Amino acid sequence: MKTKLIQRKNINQIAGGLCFLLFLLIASCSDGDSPAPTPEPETNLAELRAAIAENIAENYIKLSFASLKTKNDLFIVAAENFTGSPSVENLNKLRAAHKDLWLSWQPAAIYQMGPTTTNALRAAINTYPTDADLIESNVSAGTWTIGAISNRAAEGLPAVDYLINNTTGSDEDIIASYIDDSARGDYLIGLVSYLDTKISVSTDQWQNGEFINAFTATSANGTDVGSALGMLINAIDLHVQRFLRDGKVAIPSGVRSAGIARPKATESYYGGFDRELLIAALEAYEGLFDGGGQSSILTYLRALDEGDLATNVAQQIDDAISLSNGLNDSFAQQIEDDNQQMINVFMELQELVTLIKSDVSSVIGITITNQDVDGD
Amino acid sequence: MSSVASYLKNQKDIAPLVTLRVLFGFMMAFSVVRFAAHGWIYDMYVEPDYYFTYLGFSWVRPLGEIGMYVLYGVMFLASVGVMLGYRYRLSSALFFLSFTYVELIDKTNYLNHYYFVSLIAFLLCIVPAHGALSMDVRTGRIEKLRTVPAWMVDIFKLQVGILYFFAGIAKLNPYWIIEAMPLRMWLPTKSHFPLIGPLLEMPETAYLFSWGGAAYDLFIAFFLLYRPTRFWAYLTVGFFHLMTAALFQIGMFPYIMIFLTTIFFSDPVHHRFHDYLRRLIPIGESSGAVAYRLTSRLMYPILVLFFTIQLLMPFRYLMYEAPLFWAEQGYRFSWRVMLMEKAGAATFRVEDSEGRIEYVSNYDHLTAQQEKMMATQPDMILQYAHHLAAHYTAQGWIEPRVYCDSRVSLNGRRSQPLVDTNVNLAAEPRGWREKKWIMKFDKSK
Repeated sequence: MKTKLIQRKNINQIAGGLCFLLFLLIASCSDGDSPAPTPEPETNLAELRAAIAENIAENYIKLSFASLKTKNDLFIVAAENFTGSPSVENLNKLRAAHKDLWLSWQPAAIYQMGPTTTNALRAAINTYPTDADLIESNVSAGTWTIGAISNRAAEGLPAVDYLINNTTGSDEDIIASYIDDSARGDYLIGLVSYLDTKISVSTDQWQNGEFINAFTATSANGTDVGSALGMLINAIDLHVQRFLRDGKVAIPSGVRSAGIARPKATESYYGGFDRELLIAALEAYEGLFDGGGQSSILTYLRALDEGDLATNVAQQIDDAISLSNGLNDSFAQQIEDDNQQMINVFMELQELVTLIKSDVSSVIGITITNQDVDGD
Repeated sequence: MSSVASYLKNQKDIAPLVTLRVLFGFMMAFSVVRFAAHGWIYDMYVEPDYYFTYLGFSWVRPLGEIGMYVLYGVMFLASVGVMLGYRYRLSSALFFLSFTYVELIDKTNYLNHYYFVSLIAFLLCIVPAHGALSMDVRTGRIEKLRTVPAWMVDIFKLQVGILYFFAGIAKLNPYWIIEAMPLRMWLPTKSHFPLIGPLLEMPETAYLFSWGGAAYDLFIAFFLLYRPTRFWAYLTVGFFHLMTAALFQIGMFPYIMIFLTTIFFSDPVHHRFHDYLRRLIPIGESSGAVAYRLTSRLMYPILVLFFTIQLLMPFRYLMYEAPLFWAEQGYRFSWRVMLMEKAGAATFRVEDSEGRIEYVSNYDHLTAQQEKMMATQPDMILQYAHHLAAHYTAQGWIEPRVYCDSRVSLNGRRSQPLVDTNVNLAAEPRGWREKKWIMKFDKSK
């Protein structure tokens, strides 16, 4: 009796199992009726993602920081020469070295992640508008704490810009101000040394540290938060919005302040080479997206059969560059002459943000958020 | 009618209910710890300056930093209480209330599985799931129960069944079935996985997963109900959910489903599990056991309402003309799980009668996660526009007008404007009316 029951139970189970398998079979067979699937992509996407991470790490990130370090070393020498013997010649050499360093920061600034974030490198290098009053009060007091958050607006390249390019007087007046008060030169050297520390530490970590290894590791080969592409596109999204669009263009042009322009909030208010800085940043993006003939974000879009989008992105950066080329060297001057031109550039950059946030991130499968949250 | 009456008199073994209580309490306690460990309490309920409230629930506010941590502390203790069956009536009610309160704070964080947790938590409040294997029985607070009214077990099967079946219906749409979207976009992003990686780049795989997933959702509850297929169905549940857990970041959901579908198991399986637990932790319950008799019929109409609303909610989108995936009118609370890939960017321009114009930096007002969710969901765009109007009024602007330029990419299509840029959103009312300012969706793009 008992065995019979067990047998019946088994038969039921087997029948049930067969039933279920049949269902699975039907479910999977119906796949065959699906409307003409598109041909398999020719490129292996996982390999392509790995190649992109490799190319960007080696030929973009590491090279950008190597160049930043080189320019920084030249800048230190120029600053020491100038404070050692203030002269028009040394001042101009320092100005050139300062501008070179600032230009070389533009491509490196894109990577708002890893060592740049942990060392707060961007804030140390490029906080603007600089606080001229705070700089002057530091110098006249003769004491200061470089690296303190409260002093941040009186540091970095924009502060140096004030110290060597402030055009209220002639070059001779600037030189005299260094000869008359050694605290001024000390402050300048203080800024330069602090920058050197920050740049050296960050560069070293970018070149040799764990972050870049993690960036190119197989485990970072997806597109989720923490993957190379995920981190890169989130970094780009952040940088394009806050530092390219808003910092360089939107905020000075007044679109963030009820239409009231803020010419003093331009990046190099004293040196007046804002356009060159902006173009350098945009060209850095042009190069990064393109990949220099190697695997890149645009290559990936094309592999996904999104060639039009790749073209649009490249074109959008191009348009922004052309439009920016028409601006005055000094954005403060441009704002005074014709602020609408600035607003037009803002609009172009806004289009770029939109493309990255909606189309590019969606097609690649990147979540634009630094929060690692659950979905469903 | 008599069959309904006799069904309501039916008694069933309490065992499945007890298993559900223990597993659910355990999962929730774990989930709370995981949530806190990720720092999400801060990220989601402390850091934001603004919260996207639900219509009618704007009184549900975050409780401040300490308040939120205390609330999560209560939630944790309540879930442990549920698991142990300790002061179960209080614990289950506290868990339901604290969990649901948190979920109602900000629709940014809406997930179908949170909704599901709230529903299960509610149902657990009204059944004596502490009738065995519990502290309450051990301490003599209540009598040990052998059986409960059958419906008390069946409502959980119905709840799980509703989730699956509606998730299946939701998948019967052209994107999912004909284009294999969004899986066709999502699966290749995992192609670096060992072994199965290369398969994930093949469109055929996306079709297999889409069709298989739809079939799974539509039929799994029935196969779980039917005794002869139950074993195989449960294996499939495990396989399916573990697969989704590996492929997508969906948190605890797969494990919640793997645990809660045990409600379908036959009583002896549950008893074996309980015996195992008793050996693990000597509980020392009294041996007597009685049948649970319901003293009030109040629950009947409440449950009828509870399930009727759930059956209607997924169809409320039919009241709107605009396409569901594009306009998302009637999208939430309908078991539309992982159904579309949507990303967007929304730029807001504020003007006033004095000629002031400003373009808003969204990051001044919203977290990255809030901005991302807002940019693709019209009701959130409208709420944010109203928030901006209030913000600028407070800044001294005169009757500010708010315009939104939003571009949204849906299921791999190129981005298109979601909102009419000429409409002053500050003047558009919130509510369940059709949002006429949503742009037409061009599917061909």
